[in-house]
Amino acid sequence: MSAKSAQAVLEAKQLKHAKKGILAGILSGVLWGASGTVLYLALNFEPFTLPQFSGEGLEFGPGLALLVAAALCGALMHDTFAAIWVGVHNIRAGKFKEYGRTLRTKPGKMVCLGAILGGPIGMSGYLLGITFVNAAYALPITAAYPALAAVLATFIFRERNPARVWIGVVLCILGSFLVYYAPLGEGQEKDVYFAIGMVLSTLACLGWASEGLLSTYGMDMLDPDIALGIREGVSAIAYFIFVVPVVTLFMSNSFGPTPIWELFSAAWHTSALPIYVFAGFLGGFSYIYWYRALNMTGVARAMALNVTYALWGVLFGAIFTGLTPTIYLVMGAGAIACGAILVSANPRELFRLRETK
Amino acid sequence: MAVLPLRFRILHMINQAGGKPVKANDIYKELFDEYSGEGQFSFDFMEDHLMSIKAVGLIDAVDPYFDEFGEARYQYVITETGKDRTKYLPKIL
Repeated sequence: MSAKSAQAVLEAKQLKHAKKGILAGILSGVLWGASGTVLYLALNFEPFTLPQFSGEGLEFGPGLALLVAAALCGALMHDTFAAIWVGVHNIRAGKFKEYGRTLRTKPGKMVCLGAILGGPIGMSGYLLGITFVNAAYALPITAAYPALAAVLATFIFRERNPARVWIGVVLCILGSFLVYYAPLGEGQEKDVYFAIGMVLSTLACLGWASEGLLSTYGMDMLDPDIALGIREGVSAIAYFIFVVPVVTLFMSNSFGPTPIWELFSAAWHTSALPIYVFAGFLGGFSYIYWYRALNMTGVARAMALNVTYALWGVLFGAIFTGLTPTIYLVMGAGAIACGAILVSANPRELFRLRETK
Repeated sequence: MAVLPLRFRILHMINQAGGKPVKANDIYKELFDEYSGEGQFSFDFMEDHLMSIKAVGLIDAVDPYFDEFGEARYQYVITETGKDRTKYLPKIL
């Protein structure tokens, strides 16, 4: 058999590999949209509905403190369960020893640093956004993170971007305005919490954009499942030893009692527990598929497919939370998703898999 | 005993060949003693690593061949980007 026929067999194999990557990218978007909706739904269960934690009828300061407590408890639970799910997945795959080996390398340490930006900053902002406004509104705003990453890269790394990227950035900004200014559905009204939620969703966008900038550098050499296991683990640890104690102290002194630890311990024996276990599963596997897609089909395609979670979030929000999506919300989420895709990849090349290098 | 993460080690080995193509089967044989006790170590898994490292441009696939089992395989060479990334290898190597 000739080298030519070997080449043909191998090209078919590579095409299959890239197609699996596309599927992984799509799955990552669907699962992230679903996990956001599940995290939002968790707030309707005990312990969050208990009178001492619900914050209903309270003044702005104490009410805000309880909402922040609920959001950070959610972030802590989500990242803890995601780390456990990914850890179990890695142990089953016989990769346990890779954790220690990876942590001893420089790219492994960069993933740890990225985890602090993506976890406590990104995930906290995201969960606060979801808590303050419906996930269907928070998700599209956070999906603009590739656009923000492109802007940051221009200023920090002096990267030059083609016009396509800037058109994508403008589309994301326009989409964000549409989502922000869109009238809400019937029976809903915009209040100060809506504004805070949108600002905090933007903070998530900033955290994830900077995590992306840091993690992609040197990540190519790491097993994506292990990098993710480290990312979720470091993030959960950072919540335990730094974020929760500092936020509790600050919020309690400034606004009122902020019972994050109390909520966290109550969540383990109330109806919210299985929901967080499920959200951690969805979130953890969304990340696993995303990191796999990055490796199998390239950063551009993977990111472009991942950000479709903006639209999945609206769809799941409409199906499971009773949200009536307005045309502005759908258009805004669509504009952000299209903008993020334009930033990430040249649409003409997105499906030219045969040229995948 | 293995000291490097498997993917790192594959890149390290291809880099050590100094620009000469390395056969997938030879990489597997060479790494067998270091990683064979681990559930993650199989030919398919190693080939997945090779395809992923290639997808991000750290190695190139060249000179396809059929191995002794009649399976089509590539040989791999390090790229300039890959060489540059080996600066992240621990100093003990």
